[in-house]
Amino acid sequence: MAETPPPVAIKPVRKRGLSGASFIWLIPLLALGVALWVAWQSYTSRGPVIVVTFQDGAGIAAGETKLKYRDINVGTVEKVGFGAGLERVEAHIRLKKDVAPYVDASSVFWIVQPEVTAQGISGLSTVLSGVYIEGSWDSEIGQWANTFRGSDVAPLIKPGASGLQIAFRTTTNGTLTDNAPITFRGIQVGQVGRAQIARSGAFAIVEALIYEEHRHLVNSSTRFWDTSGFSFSVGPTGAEIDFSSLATLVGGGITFDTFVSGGEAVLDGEVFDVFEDKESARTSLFTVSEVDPLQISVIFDENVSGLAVGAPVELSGFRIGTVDSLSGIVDFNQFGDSRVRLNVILSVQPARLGMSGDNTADAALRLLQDRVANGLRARLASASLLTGGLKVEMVEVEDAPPARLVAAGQDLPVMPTTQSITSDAAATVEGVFTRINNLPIEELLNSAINVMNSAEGLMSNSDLQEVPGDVSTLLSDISGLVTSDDVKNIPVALNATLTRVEGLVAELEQQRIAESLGKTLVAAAEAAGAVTSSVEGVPELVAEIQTVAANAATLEFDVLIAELVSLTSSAEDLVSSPETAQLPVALAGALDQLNATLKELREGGAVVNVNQTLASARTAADSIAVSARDLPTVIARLNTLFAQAGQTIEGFNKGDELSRSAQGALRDIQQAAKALEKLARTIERNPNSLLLGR
Amino acid sequence: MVCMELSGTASTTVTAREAGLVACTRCTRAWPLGQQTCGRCGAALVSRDRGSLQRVWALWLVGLMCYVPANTYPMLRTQQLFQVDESTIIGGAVDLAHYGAYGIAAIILIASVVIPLGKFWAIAFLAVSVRKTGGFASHHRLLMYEVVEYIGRWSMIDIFVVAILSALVQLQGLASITPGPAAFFFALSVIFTMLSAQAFDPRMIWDVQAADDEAPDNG
Amino acid sequence: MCTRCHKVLIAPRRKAGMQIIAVSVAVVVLIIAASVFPFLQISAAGRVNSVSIMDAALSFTQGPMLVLALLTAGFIIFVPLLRMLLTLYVLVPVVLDRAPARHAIRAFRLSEALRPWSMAEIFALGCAVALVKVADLATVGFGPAFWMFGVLVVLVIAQDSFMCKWSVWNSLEQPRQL
Repeated sequence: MAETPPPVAIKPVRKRGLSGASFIWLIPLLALGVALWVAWQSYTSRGPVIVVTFQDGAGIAAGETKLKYRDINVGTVEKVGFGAGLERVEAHIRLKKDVAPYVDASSVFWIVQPEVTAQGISGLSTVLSGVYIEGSWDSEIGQWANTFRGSDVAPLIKPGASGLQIAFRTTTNGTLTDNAPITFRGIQVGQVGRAQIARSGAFAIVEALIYEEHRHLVNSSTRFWDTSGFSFSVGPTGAEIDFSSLATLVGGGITFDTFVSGGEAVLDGEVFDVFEDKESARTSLFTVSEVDPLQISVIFDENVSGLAVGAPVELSGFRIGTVDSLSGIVDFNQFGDSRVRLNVILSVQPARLGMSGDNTADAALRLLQDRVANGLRARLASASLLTGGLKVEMVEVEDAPPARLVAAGQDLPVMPTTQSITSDAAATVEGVFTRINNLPIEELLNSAINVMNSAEGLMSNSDLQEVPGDVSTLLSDISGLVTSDDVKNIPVALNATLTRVEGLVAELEQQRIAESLGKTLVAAAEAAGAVTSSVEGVPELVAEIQTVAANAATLEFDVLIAELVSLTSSAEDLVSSPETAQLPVALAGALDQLNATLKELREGGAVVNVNQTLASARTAADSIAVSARDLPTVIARLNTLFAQAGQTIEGFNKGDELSRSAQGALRDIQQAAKALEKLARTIERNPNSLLLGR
Repeated sequence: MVCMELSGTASTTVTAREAGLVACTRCTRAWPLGQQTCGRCGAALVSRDRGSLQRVWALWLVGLMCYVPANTYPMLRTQQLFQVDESTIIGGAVDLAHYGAYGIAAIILIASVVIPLGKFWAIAFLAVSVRKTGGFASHHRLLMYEVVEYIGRWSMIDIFVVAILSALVQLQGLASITPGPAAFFFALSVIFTMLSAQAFDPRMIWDVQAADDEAPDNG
Repeated sequence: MCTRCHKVLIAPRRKAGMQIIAVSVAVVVLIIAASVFPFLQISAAGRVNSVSIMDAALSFTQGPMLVLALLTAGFIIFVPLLRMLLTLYVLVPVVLDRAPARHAIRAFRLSEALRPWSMAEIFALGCAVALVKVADLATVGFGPAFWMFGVLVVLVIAQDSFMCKWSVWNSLEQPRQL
């Protein structure tokens, strides 16, 4: 028997307001409802599943790899597996519901992964984020399809994108790379797709797309040519290297132009030929039809080597046909001996003859017959001096023995010939060499060497080498002085300059002229060091300077020096008080320039320079005389004077051919740099294009 | 919660033992002292559990031993663009403080350092105080016990933070967080501390006081 | 109203008991739903990752950590779920004035023993801490499970405070009285 504790008093609970049991059940019902609603939502908001098969998985991961359309996620890969017989990889992709209706039977899917092609690298961003599948479909709802066959590469023409779809055909030497751009005047207006060999195997055919906004540029008289690589030519203007841009240099490109007007609009599917260069593209326009040429046979008596199949046939300098074949011919009956003659069969394009009326072979034959009766003959001529190739020329020969162009039944009409003019290039070259040989080159060289030796001796004179340096040091010192804004430091700087000047003068004391000059400079230094603030004596000085300048052209050197000495001594007289904050700068400059000028004189420089210098010194002194307050401007003018002198020396070399061609080369480099810059900008805009330029 | 006071009476409290009763710790039903199992909930009725102290100490020791590697091994392994970063509990909190997230750093430090250390100290103190007398008043000791038992589970917050971060931040290549071995040891430490606190029989606190009361000259 | 622990008594049994039963049912539903639906979603630099609560619990999966994964899943999901189910198991017959279910006593004892081990609300706070930490670096999105879990935590706390254990024991022992 258990003792139970006393019962606990139980107080009745106050009934609370709204605690009805029926009300509390709302909570679990609500919870249940919410859970079911969320489940239902996530179930119905799922889109349908499509199956896309690929050749290989390329990094598709179930649950992770996304399907993108125009760079927006529109689906996720749910499951990856193999198809029947392990043939293809199947990816089950669940589409987003709103996009699902648009995925119709005409959709194309491909995997975007890193790719390296001639055009560049593409898809690099997928290295970090994983590969993704890209799809392309139009914005119309078409027939629903469940399974798709993924393609290996991105399609050139995305469904829904519009443009002019054409095809290109290249022949033996064509170089078309996949995805090459089609440019027009430097702007990309289309793209080339993948190349395939045509069924007959004779050429490569490749589809191309001209973007919609540029389709009007292409009509039936547009000709395309290949701009890949670079072209190098040597001609009268010199060697030239030309390429469109770095992109086409490496990856190839096609460009086009409509040379003549009157072309008709072109529909999708038109096939164009791609020519090798612009010239052949242009001339192809004038080749109205390659069919139906007129074939003529020509028999040459001489045995000249150098004529090849494909050599041009010219009439009046204009090419009218080509050499079709060559053979030897021996016909005792016809020629009277058993020599082997050269039988050339020409094919003449009737259209090239430029006849009005119909362009048939018969009409061409009649024309030629007429001309032959008037003296037209065929002959061999040199086509190229260097290579020794020959061409067949038709010329009007005066006093030709009468002959006719006979069309005899099945045989080809035979054209009469005349004397061939073939220059023997080899002989000519040899003659040139002989002439060069006979030149007195050694004597030339000897005298040249002597000249150079003496020039070198002169230039290696130590004094000469030091002078320009000192002058420039002087000038730079003066400009430094002038530009300094602490005027009170002028006397200090002046002293430094003057000491340098004295040093220079000490060097020059070897020379007779330098001696007196040295005295002059010392005096000038003293004068500069003690210029008075008053401008009274300056006009006098100026007048003296002017006198000196006026007599410069006629004076002899010694007299000039004497005048200068007197000038500087009068300047010294002028200076009486130790006022230093005024003129010394400009005056020292003028005097130093005099120094430089005198040195030039010693070297044999022109008197003209002296004149110029003294004239400039006069003008400087004039402006000094005008107003002592104009010092800053004076100094500035002196500065410009010095600068001009320097420029004159520089400008001597302008107009040199070397620099001109260097500038030309610079321009070319600039163009290449511009192409590089374009590339860099494309990369900046779209990092993906770093890899493929898309 | 074990309510020992009978309702209605005040001043002198009569302990259950004195009244010849023993209360079931689970369902708080009182039974006579001799009964072995609770008639209501079937739990074992033990008036005073002498062995409980041993259990307390043993579990406490295991918890303490697990706490050491929990702090020396890294708790979080962060991988950011080929740069692997490992941080311990305290190291991670310090980094957070460096970055300016003082609040979070404080929470982590409190939950992972202050509380466990506090628990170790409190349980040890309680276990020791049961033998000795004097010092803290019993009410306070009981309060301490309640607090320890209640707060103990909140130390698991750090484990859950690690769990959520590791699960969430799994962006291949960009950043990924994986838990380090310290998480395991820390969880063990918290679990054992909780078990240790549960093993403690709080009634022994009152016994000491009763002993104090009976022998006032010792207090 | 019980004068001892001042909790609402299960009397009139039907109403109060119903409250607790209703809350328990809601919690059960929410736990199941929340553990299945996506919980949180992080996106940074084009990469997206979406996790559910099970993913969070199972993020310890290497070696001995597997134990921790199971423990975490248990603490967050299974223990609260079990507790709620046990409460239902015990209360439903009591509230409906029928004999208590078999092993109800053991069930209730288990449920009470597991009370300190139900850490759903601690997980909620841990999520808050983690989110604040991560939200600086990346964009975090809340899935439906997140809101469900929040409500769930509130309900669990409410249920714990509503129930007076003494009364439950009492009614278990003396089912036909009161």
